[in-house]
Amino acid sequence: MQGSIFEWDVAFCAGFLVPPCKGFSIDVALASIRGSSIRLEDSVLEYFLPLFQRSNDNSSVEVNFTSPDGEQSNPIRTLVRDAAFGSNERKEEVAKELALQLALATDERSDEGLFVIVVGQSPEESRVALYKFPADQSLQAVFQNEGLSINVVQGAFSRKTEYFKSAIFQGTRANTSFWIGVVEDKQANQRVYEVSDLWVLRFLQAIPSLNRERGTRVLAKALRTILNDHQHSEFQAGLVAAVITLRSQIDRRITIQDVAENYLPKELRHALLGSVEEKLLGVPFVLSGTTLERHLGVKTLTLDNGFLVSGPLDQFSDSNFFSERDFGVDGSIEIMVRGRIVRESLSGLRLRVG
Amino acid sequence: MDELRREYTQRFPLLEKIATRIESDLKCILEDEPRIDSITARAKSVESFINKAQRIYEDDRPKYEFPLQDIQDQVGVRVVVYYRSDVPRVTDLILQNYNTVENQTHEEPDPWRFGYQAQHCVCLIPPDLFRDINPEINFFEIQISTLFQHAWAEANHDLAYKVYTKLDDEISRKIAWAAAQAWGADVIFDEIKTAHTNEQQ
Repeated sequence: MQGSIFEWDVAFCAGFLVPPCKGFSIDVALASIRGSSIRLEDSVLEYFLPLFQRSNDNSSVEVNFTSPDGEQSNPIRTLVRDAAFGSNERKEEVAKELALQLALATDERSDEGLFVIVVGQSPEESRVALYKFPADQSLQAVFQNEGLSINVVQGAFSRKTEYFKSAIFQGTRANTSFWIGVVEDKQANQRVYEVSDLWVLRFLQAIPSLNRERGTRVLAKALRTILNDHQHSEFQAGLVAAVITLRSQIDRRITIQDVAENYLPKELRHALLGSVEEKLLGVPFVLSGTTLERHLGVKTLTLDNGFLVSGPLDQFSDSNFFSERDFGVDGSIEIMVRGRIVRESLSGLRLRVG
Repeated sequence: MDELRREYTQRFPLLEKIATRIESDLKCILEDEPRIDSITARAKSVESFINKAQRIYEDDRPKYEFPLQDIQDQVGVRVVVYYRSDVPRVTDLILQNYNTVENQTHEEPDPWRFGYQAQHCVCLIPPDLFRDINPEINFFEIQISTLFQHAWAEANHDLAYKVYTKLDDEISRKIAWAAAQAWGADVIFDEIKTAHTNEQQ
C-alpha cells in the first residue's frame, strides 16, 4: 500500500494528460492521451490524501449514474466498480479507459487537463475518486518514457486553490452499490453553482440526485407552505412577484439558497431556508416552468397591450376577486380585479407594445 | 440467516416510514392523472425478505450475496391503472420524477404462453424523502399494472408463486388460462376506450 490516512488505504493511483477529443475517432483519442499509474510520494501524497479522505462539503452535489437502457447498466459505473475491486492490471486498464472517455467527452472549449484516479480500500468498502485538474496549475504533470510524474507547484497555486473537478464513489462489493456519487466542480462560477455538463452528464453519464422535476417540486412545495403560512397580503404579493420573476429562470440552473437570497422579500428568506432540509439548499437543479406553475398555483394572463394580471390560481375562479368578459369582436376581454394596493413600483424601462 | 433476520427486523420500521413517504410523494405526482385506480406502497415483510434472500441459482450459488443491499424491493409501490394504454403515460411521469436504474416490461416472452405482466421500475429514493431517517437502502421498486393484470397477479400470488411444491400441469394450465383472460380483457377494454376517444374527437 502506498499510503494511508484514517480508514482508507490508497491502493492505486494513475494520471493521464487528456486533451479535448470530442468528435475524434477512438483510435485518434487513444493516441492523444498520455499517462500511467503513479506512485504517491512526498508532496504529491501530501496533496492527494486529504482530498481523497474528504467526503462531502457544502459545495458537493450528489449524483446518480443513469441507466439509458433501463437494465441497470452504465458503462462508467462498470469501469468505476472494476477500479474498486479489480486486479491491479484491471485498474490500469480502467484508468486508461476512463481517461479516454473523458477525452472523448471534452470539446475544444477546454484545454488539455490532468485526469487522476485514486482508489482506496477500507475494511468494508472501496472508494474511487476521479479528478480533473487544469494542466500546469496546482499540479504539473510530465509524461516521459518511464511514465507520468506529477509535481505540486509550490507558491504559484497552493493546495487551497483546489481548482479542479472531482467525483467520488464508494461502496461494498454488492451488485447494487456505486450508483450514487458526489461531485464537486471548483472550476464553476461560485455564485451560481453549476454542475458541469461536461463532467457529470457527458463524462460520468450521471445526473443530479435532485433532478429537474424533483428540485422544482421541493422549491414549489416550500414556497406554497410559506404562502399558506403568511396570509398577510403584502407577503402574498411579494411571493407572487417572486414566482413571476422566477419564470425568467425557467430551464436555468438554480438553488433554493439562490431563490431565498435573490428572489424573496427579506422578511421571507428565513422562512424558505428553514422549510427545506439544509443539505438540499445548495443543490443545483434546472427549474421546470410547468411544474412550478402546477404546484404553486400562480396564474398569469399576459395581454397584447403589455398588461400582466397575476395572482393565486384559486382566486381566478372567485368572482369576489376576479372576473372577465368578452369585449369587442376582435377577441378582446375586459378584466375586473378587486383588492387593495399594498405595493406599487415603477421601472425605468419604457415599453411600447403594438 | 438469524443475523440477517435480526438486521432486517431492526430496519423494518424505517422501511415502513420511507414507504409511507414514497406513497404520499407518488400520489402527489399522479394526483391530476386520470384513470388511476390505486397507489399503494409497502415495506417487504420480514418473512418475505428472508425467503427472497435464500434464493439460489441452479448451481446452488446464492442469488443475493449481499441481500440487505441487493434486494431492491424492500420498499415496493404498486400503481394500478385502468387500461393498458395508461401504463406508458404513468411510466413516463415516474421516469421524469425519479432517477431510475431499471425500467422493464415483465411479460411472457413466448407469445404462446400467458403469465405475469406488469411494468417494473427500480428507482433511487430521492434525497428529499429521507430527511431525518436512514433506512440504509437506496432503491425502491414501482410496479405499474392494469386492473386485470393486478387481479390475476394477486389471485395467483399465494398459489403459484409461493407454494413449495410444484403445481401439476392441469393447474398450471388453468392459471395460464386465467392470465390469458386478463390479457384479453385488457386488449378489449383498451380497444373500446380508443374507439370511444376517437369518436369524441
